[in-house]
Amino acid sequence: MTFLNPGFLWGLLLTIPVIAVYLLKVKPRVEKTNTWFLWDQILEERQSNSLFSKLRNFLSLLLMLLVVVLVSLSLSNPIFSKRDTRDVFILIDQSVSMNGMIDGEPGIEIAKEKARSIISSLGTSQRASIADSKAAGRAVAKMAQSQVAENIESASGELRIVFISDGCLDFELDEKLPIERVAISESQRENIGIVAADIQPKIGSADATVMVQLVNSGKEAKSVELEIFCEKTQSIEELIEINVLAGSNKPHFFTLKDS
Amino acid sequence: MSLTDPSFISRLESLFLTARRVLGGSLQADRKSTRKGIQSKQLAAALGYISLNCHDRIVPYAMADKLQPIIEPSRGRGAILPFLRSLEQTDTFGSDTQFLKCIKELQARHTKKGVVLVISDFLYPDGFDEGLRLLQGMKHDTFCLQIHDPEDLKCEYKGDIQLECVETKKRTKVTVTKKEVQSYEKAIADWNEKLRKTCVKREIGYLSTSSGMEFEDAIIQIIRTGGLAG
Repeated sequence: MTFLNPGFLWGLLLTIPVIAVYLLKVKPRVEKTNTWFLWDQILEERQSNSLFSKLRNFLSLLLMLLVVVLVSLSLSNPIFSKRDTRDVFILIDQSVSMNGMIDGEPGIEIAKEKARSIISSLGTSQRASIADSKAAGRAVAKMAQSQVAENIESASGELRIVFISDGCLDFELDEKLPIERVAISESQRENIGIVAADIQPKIGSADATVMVQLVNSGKEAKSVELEIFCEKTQSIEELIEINVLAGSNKPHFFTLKDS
Repeated sequence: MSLTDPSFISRLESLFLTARRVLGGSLQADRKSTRKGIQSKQLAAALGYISLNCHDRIVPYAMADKLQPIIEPSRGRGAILPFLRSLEQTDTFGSDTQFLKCIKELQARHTKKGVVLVISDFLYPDGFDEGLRLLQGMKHDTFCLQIHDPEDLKCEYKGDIQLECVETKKRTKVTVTKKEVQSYEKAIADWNEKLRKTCVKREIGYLSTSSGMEFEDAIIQIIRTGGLAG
């Protein structure tokens, strides 16, 4: 059993004055009677309850102590279940796909809300750190692929790592890695993204060869339009239609004239 | 108000005119100096006054754990003031009232038949039955005048209290709940009812009055309903 507010356990010290009051006892008021013998008869009839009457004061003390103890314990917020008391490291995926709208709200905002929810559910003794990265998912993947994974394994004993993402990843996250995955949406979102790109000018020519590798996280092939935008002229230089198969696609090469 | 106060005596005078007939005999006063005690003294004074006015012989006693003469046997109007003075000076004494012992003492002192008027609350720890039986056996014309305080009939106590006997000063701790209140009120009602039934059974005159009642009213009630006046 752990306590979220152990400071309130000091309230148990209140049992001392309660016991003191019990031991001091308030002297009952004296009432004179000229019908003593009648009272004597009544009290004799109650003699069968004398054991209870002797215990009654003691029981009242126990009851008072019980109230003090219960109030103190309830204020100290005990946890009986095996709740995770580790510190939390929250990593938010800030890739472009997180800007996608989910039920009218940007995915990144949902991720922030999820992070807030996790932090607010922590106990007072737990700490949380939060980080975001445009390449968060890739960073996690790299960690998984490298020896850092072992470090994560060992760190997970003291640290709980939470990765909040829309699930649109261009890599496979090792399921064995002790990282909690929190999806911003219940349904798997479809995403098509550029995972590799390069441009090489052709020697002796104004043209250039462009390489683009696309990944489709959906289950079906989709046709997309790739815009080559020139910042200098602020105009679209090339518009290419590409059929993107499900999963990782082979690199697509095309020539960009007068680039 | 003093028993020898002229206004009290004038009230006794008017009472005497109302009563027409008097009674005489031994008179015993309750020993308690509470309201009941005051009431019993006033009633004893009134009844004693009537008796002395009628030239009856009265022998007043105070009663507790023994009989204590209030004044020597007296007769005639000339004894009224000494009687009232002595009655006024009578104070509480002794411990628990021992009714049977007192009646036995009365029996030893007075063998001649007479009218015995017992003014008391009849709350005797040893009971009243044996004493009344003895009085009946002595062939006295006996009348029991019970004075009860309204506070005795109801239990006003609540919670944890320490009961103290006014006579023996014994103390005990009691927690008075509704159940105790009911038990007490039933016990006192049963006690008074038992006294009434005993008096009826033994052909003893019985009347009960409250200490809150004006003594003239009490006397008139006694004389009218008790059959003491014709």
